[in-house]
Amino acid sequence: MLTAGAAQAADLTIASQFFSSNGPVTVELPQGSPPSAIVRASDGHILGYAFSTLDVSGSVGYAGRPLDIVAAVTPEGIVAGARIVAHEEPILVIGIPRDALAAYVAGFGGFDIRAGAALKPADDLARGPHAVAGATITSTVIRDAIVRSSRAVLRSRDNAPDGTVRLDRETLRRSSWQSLVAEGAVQHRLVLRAEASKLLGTQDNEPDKPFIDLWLALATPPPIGESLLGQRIYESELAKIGPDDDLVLIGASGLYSFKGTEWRQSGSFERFEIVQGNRTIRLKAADYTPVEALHAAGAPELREIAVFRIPRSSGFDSTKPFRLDVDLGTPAQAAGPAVVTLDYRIPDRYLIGPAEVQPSPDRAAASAASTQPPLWQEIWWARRYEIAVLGAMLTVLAGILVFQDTVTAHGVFYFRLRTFYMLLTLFFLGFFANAQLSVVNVLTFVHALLSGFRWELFLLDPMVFTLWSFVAVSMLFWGRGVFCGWLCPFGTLQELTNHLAQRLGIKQIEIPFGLHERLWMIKYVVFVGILALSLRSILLAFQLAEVEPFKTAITMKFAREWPFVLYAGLLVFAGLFIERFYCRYLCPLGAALAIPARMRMFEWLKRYRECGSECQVCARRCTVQAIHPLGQINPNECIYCLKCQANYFDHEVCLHLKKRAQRRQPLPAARPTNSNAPRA
Amino acid sequence: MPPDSPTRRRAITIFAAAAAGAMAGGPARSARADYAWRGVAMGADATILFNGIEPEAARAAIAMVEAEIDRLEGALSLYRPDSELCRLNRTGLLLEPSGDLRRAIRIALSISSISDGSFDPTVQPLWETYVDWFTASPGAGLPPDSIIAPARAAVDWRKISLEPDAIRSGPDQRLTLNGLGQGYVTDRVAELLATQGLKHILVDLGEQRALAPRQNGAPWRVAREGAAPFRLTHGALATSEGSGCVLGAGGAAHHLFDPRTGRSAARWKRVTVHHRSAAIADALSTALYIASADEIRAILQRVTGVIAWARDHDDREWCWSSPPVDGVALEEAS
Repeated sequence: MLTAGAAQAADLTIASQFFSSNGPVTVELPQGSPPSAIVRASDGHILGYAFSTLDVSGSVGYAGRPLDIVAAVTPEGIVAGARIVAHEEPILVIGIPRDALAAYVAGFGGFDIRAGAALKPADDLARGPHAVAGATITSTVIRDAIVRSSRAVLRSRDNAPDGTVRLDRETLRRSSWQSLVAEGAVQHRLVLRAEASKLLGTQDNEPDKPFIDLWLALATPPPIGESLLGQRIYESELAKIGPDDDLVLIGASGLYSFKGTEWRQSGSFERFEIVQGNRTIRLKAADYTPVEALHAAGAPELREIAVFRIPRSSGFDSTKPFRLDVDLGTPAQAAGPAVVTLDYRIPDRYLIGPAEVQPSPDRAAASAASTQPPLWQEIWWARRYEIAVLGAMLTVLAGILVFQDTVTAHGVFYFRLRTFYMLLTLFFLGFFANAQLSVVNVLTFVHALLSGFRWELFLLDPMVFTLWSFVAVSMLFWGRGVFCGWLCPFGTLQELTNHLAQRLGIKQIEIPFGLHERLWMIKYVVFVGILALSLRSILLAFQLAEVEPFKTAITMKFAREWPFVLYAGLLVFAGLFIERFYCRYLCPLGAALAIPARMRMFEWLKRYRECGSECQVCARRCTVQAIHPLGQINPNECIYCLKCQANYFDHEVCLHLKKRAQRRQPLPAARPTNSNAPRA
Repeated sequence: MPPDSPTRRRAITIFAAAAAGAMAGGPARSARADYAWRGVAMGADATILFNGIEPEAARAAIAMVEAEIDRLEGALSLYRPDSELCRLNRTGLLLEPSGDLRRAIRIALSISSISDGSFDPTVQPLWETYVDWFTASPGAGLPPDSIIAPARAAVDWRKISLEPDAIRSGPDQRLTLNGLGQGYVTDRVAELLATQGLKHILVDLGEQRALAPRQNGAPWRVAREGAAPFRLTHGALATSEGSGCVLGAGGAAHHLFDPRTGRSAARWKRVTVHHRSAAIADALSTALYIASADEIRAILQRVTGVIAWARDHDDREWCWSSPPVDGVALEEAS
């Protein structure tokens, strides 16, 4: 029967190698929940526990695909070893040498899980091995998989007497109703009148209405209690209990009252009990405080809400599962026990693991330090400076776009600003922060929508998340060009190198517009191809996404196998002769953005009526030749660099302005018209 | 004083695959429950069959079930001197009773009312009198009326009162929940397992309760001696049989007393009842065992969802029902 449960599990026997310095060891069959295998020395004593991260915590990589690492942890909380055994992570499949990844995972040997448990928002995010360059998300996921699984295994294996796991009574945090419900800190059961009448042996003419809609929460931890009750009531309740006692909140609406009225006479509540293991805990009027309304944002209005103080002396242990039994009242005739139950288990995040660092005098600080915020919050905090710089960059860019007429009217200022911005994008966003958006993000997003969207996955990379948020909005306003022209590191690399080439006098190749227009199609075909392939095999799609030289050029800074380097180098080389060659014809990300960007709201790029008929200056100067010889700007191709707008205001460049100046020499310049603005 | 013999002989056994093979002429089906737990509940053998379950899930469920049985025995069992029921019997008053004791007694009193006292939870003094009598003189005949009368005088379910936060019994009264306690525990355990998402289970703590058929849709087969087996998909079966627990040499008396006469009832050899709730089936099977055929018809008019089979001493089969009946059928002879 054991084998049935472990049918798909990884082979844990390789864990014996982690302990090879201890002489011959045996790895037993995996047991328990979560499953882990005891590793014993030849003399029988337990060296550690081996487990598969996939079995223990269902670890997944960036693409949401399984990631399986076999690891072992000693009873003291030290990782004895780890090895990646299965992994479909596309970002890692190509580019990261297998040896580097194996070394990274193996580097977790000796990592102290319990010290890791003391993580607090700080810069030392990864006390263990840090990330693998170029595959940040997955490597953080790897770390998370190993650390979280080790903790879960240790918790289940720790059968030391009471006190090994404590309730976190200190950490302060406000939570909304939705997040409390989502994490299971608030449990719910709706009993319809149909169900109640079945249990009570009665008839009900409105079976679909609620008989009782029950909510249950352990209110002792501040994030739950204070969020639900509000600070005033929570603190007054805390003042009434001892340090090890608990608060339980019960709320309900519907036809039936869980409190009833008998308690006013008898002094104890008859309709419900707390049950834990073999204990029945009855609640007394003296332990009861009525509550008017729930404080947490988004909480429903309930007919009755009560907080109960449960003394530790009752045997109640809030770290263990318990349940609420609610008696539905006297059955009308012969019917069985009319009770409904509501199970509760405090989510792990409110528990503090074995407390061997206990002798700290500052208890609050110690326990606060040993709780763990979600992984993504740690990451955001650790990268807060980068996020701040990115925020500033995006603010400046938004300013440029909103005040584009003013900016482009000052030609020199505009060109300097743009060059500086591109340098920032290339060196800060690209080489430093590795925040190069990619068609891979698009695929991941599409597949996340198809297979169950999880914010957490996208929140893991704050830079990419922030960028995408901005790109989504800017795309809606001005089209896809804002990203391509300003925020794409590879795009700016091409443009900057091309400018350098032009300065050095390299002659540019002009592609006839008719051919140019047809070459555009390639990138759409590439994108649709990748998207279609991803539905069949996401792994192949990610390999095809290597059409993008982003990873080679930006993320890995050309430190890669030669075919990749050659390819990326050729593209940059081509870009010396044809500005943004890759962007124009090949970029699947540009294609992916251009398609939804057809919904854009604003057409702010100005044209004169004469543009295209008399003069082709802008069209020839356009970075990506997005201006039709007849004068219209093709917004699908436009990268919104605003060069044509600078030309528009430039009396030295714009033929129309020059002519007008000649014609109306004595008169001041007339108001330009934008009646010829492009229409999609 | 608790009865001497905590386990009661099984009139009914469950068809697991092994048992099916052992049945003469029974078809050898692959009706194997994938996981079986055997233990003791309310002083009787207990079995829970899990169909198609992961061992881990079964282990976790069993840990929960064992705690729940332990907890309920602490309320309802006569075999535990410190149980709530024993405390009530000692003093005639129990303050702050648990919801489970209150509910179990409430069910007992409702069946007493429906059956006009055929079922009575206060028959414990009769049992104690018989046990004392046969312990003192094992070979003797039945105890004389002079011995029975004082005990019988204490038997009256109407003297039990459920008060706010207290249960009170009459003078010299002692209660037993052996007529429905196992059924009550069966119900609670089955419903607890259901909340864990386990439906393909058969809980057998003396009464058999199923929440759903087996995973392949096949019913649970419940065998009985000398008659076609039951096919159980939902609800509970409870059987009362005088030979289940006999007293005195040669079976002079048994545990199913008629509260009105103070003597062991003798109308039926065996009565089996099906109801959604094992507690109700359990109590009703006791009540019907004591009642006459006319009384049984009258009782069934006051309840719904019951089907009852009885076998008299001439081995004739009787059957009454009070619709709707759902979840049980007799297996056709093959």
